[in-house]
Amino acid sequence: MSEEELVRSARQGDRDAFAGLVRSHEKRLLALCWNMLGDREEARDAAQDALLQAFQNLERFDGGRGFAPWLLGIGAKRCLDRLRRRRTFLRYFRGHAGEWLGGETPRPEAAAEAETAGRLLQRLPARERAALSLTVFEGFSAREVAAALGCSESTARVHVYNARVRLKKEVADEL
Amino acid sequence: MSCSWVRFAYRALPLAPWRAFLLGRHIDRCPRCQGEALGDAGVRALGLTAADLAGEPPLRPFAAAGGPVRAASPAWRRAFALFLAVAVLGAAAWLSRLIPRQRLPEGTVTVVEEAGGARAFAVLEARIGDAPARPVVFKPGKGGMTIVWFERSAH
Repeated sequence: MSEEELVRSARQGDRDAFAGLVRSHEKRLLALCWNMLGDREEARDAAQDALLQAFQNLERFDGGRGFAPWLLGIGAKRCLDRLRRRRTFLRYFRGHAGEWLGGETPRPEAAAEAETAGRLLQRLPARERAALSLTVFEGFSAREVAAALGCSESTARVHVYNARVRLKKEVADEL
Repeated sequence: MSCSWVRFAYRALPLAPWRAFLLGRHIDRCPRCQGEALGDAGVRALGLTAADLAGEPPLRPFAAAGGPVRAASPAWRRAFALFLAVAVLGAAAWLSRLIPRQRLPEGTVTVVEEAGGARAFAVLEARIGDAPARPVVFKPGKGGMTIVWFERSAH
């Protein structure tokens, strides 16, 4: 079955067709989420969310860009949502950690960073990380990144550039 | 435009789209700025690609929608459910025959006086079956409508 046929069947509620559609792109989706979130389990959760959201919104898929860019765009947005929630949680957690843990202030972000692959990627601001991941690992054009992140092409290009500059400095500092 | 001028403008310009446009146009063409950025190979070395995840278990697209997709229920279960539904409907029909139905009694109304078309009338006698009936008059609003019905008189 071609991708178009699978999309048509999936739109009519055929879960097997959707599973077939997803099978060829799920590793890319998972890699994107992993690079953005830096944690395997959270990446799997975000990827699952993205798949479910994609299934529920298949009517909105216009077919022009292809299924993979559309799915990966949803994945990037889900990851950005998670990063936003994580920031809010960490701000709250840091504010109360002293009273909860008797004065010892843990650094969950740093602890998570130490365990995960792509430690340096995790130091980038969320949108820059998303733009860079989509561009370098997924081969998105600036226009596709802009569509996925809901910004202008120029902004997407600047995000990618800023991320590259930051990373180069980080790599130099590490060495 | 020099790199330093573009960077100054990037910081000074108040609107983000303008700044991004300016810098975007510059960095696409400026080898010096591009030299300050990490190339694709360098970035790829820092992250994961789909090929790195070959051993990962597959995702379950519908896990968040209430667990894995359930297998269709077996035929015997569907047949049992059908039998149960038929049995319940049969029992309900049998029970409904046991309950005596309340039939509305037949009544007669004798209107003895009518004046001004249908605007005024008097009811001389009303009976439900053989028993006299009592009229109840209800005027729902100021529209002039009057509803009259009859109830069995309490003896």
